[in-house]
Amino acid sequence: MKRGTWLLVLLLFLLTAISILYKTLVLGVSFIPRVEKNLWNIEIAMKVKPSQRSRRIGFPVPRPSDRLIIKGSQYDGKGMALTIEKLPEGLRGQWQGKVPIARTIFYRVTVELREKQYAVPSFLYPESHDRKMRDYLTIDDLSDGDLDAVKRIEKEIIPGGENRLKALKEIYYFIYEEVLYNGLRNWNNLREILDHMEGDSQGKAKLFTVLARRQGVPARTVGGLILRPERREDDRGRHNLAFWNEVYLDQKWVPVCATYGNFAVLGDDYLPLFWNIDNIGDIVNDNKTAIRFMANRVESTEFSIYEYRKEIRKARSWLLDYSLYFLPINVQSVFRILILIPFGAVILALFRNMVGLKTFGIFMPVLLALFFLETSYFFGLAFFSVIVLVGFGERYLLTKLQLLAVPRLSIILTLVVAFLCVFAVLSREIGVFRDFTLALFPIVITTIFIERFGIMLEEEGWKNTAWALTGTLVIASITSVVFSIRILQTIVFTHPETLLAVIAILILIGKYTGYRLTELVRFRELLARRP
Amino acid sequence: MFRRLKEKGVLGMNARIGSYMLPHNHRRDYPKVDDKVITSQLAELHGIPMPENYRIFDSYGGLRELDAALAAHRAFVIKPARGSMGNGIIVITDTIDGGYIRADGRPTSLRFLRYHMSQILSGLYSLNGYADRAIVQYLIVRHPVFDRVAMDGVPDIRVIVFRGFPVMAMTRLPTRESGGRANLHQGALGAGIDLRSGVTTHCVWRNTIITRHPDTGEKIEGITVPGWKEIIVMAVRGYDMSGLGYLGVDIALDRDRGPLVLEMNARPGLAIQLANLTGLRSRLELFKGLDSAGMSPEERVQKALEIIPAR
Repeated sequence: MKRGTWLLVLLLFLLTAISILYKTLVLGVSFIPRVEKNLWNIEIAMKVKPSQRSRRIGFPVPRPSDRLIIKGSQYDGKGMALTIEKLPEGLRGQWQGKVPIARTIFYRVTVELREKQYAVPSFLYPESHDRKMRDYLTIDDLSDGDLDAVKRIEKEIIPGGENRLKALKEIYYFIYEEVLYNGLRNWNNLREILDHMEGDSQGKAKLFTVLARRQGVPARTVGGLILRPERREDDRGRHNLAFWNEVYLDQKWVPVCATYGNFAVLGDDYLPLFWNIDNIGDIVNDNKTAIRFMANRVESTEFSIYEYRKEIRKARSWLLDYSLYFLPINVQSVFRILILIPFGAVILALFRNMVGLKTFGIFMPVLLALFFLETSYFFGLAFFSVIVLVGFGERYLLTKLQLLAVPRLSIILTLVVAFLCVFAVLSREIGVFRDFTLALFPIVITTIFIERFGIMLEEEGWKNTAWALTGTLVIASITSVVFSIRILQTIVFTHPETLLAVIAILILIGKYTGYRLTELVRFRELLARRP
Repeated sequence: MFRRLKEKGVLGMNARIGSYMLPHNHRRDYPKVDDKVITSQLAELHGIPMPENYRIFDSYGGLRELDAALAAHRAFVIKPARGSMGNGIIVITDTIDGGYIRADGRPTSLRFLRYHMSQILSGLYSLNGYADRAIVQYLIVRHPVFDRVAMDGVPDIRVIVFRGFPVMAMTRLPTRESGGRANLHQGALGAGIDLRSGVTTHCVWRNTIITRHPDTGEKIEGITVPGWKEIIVMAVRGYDMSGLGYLGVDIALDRDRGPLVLEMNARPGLAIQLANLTGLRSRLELFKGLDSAGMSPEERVQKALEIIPAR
């Protein structure tokens, strides 16, 4: 290879590297936008039994906070009206209307959860509570048996003289470490829990509330979901309610979980739903309704475009004034795909020139890969099969009807458009087309592909045609896998200068004059025999 | 991984394009060999014999006179001017009562021929899909020496010419599978020819070595091609005509008219290496520094035979 070529390749790689390094190191912009982590789709489903009366059915709604961000919500009340009211116990949704036949109604919400640390004061002022805290200090409906058991335990763990903060920690350690967690045991009262020294999260939370209040620390139970993969009850993401506590320390509610052992820290798996309510039935308030919680993690992490845009605005550099992130969102989504095409071309070049696979038309595999990516793999295959079938039709037009070229091509073009209509109508049902898939669909290239397929079938026989088909599918599959790597997509979209490196790689492939892998097979006789 | 291919001096597809075609063949010279109408005009200027073109059609309207044009000939070939790999060629061996007999014995009609030629004009068989011309050409009569090893068609001789020197040669023998066409990827046989003697050596069929013709069972080795010296000199002159440094020249041996250049190819295939069981790259390397300026075609052939090691 000539020196000039090497220099060009080197220059292209260098330009890419320098540009990216300048942006990240000198301008201080993130390499790629931060990933929005820990998104969950929460579904609160209510199975409602029929009744002729108009009724109100309540349910808890996640309350936004600095560690719980609502990304969107939707609901389907099957004709019932929805109101959401703000209560001290949390947000309460209320369905109102008639349910003459059994229905399941939904409230869905997408939330982002973050972990939060809380400050714990080193000292608690005595009796600093105002009147509204009184509710969180009173202990009611404890039976004699419960009271005896509680007093016995207090003697054991808090012999006396400790300040309230120390006492609170002793209570926490006792319930977390010595009262075993057993999610299947639902003891009815505190005495039973203390006799067996085990309980579920509700029982442990109840015990904590009582013990804390008895020490003069305002406390309440929190009901919600703990979104741990291992806590999933089934494949559909059904979760049971879990309970933990909050204590009022230095004018702030501080979370405590005596089940999984968190003091003054709430992990990003805790989704609180209601406060100071022991029984979810009190919220639902309808004995003919069963409530069910489903939670599924949103797997495909979205990159936070908004925050990245703020970052590059702040950097104030001409280099970033032309960032693709300033395009309108819908145009961005088209370019996110378009900018991958050159990478598909690299894969294609590798397979054609270094492996030696045959393909149909030069860019058909890349086009197909886009289709696999945009729809589903099987839908893409269905599309491809239709194209192949039309290819057989083309052969018929060619050899049997003997039509002239332009009308014949036009018939194929018409068929392509017609099939596109069929797919579009189907897609309204199954929702595979995104709005810009159609824009990426080159009708003319497809038409010419079909034409070449028909001719190849006629002239080179089905064997060669099948090889080319296989090569096309193999390359398309691999390309679509590469395309689906989100991080690659984001890096390229954030730094379009990587396309210069793509050109450099293509120059290197273009200068490759070594053998192709398939030539080992092709020339095997030459290797095996002596002349 | 590729060490053994390299040791055998095999020329791969990438090297053919990157190391030989691109550096030695100028783009502007391609039309001289890609368009058979231009080739035949140039060949006439250079005194290189080619099969006579009876008629060239360049418009759909002209096809109305097709029957009149064909009336004078019992046998002929229809080809696209810019075709490749033998695609789009129809061979008519006989004319009976206004009907035509194709090389494989199937009858066909004037209507079909007219349709086929309109396909050619529309560019269906042309290299890049552009509009094309259709040629009605003299049909080569097979030389008797090939009678027992060629089925339903005319064999041709492919000579690779590198910078004016003959490098390697083979003969391509049609089979039943190839439908009378002398194209290896369609199932024709390729038999290597010793450049010095013009005698056939090994034979390749679909990338495997065979010794007998799959249709006739005849032995393929040891056939002496008549007038061999004349054939390679003719091939070498293709370089002077086209200016292409890396060239394949296809020559057919006519029973009555002797060797005729069928076409030239700026992208000759690699199967010739199998037919000769010899790597092309090692041969080409022998001619790397050699300058052919001022040498006559005969001198270049002489020089090449001196350089190429004897078998």
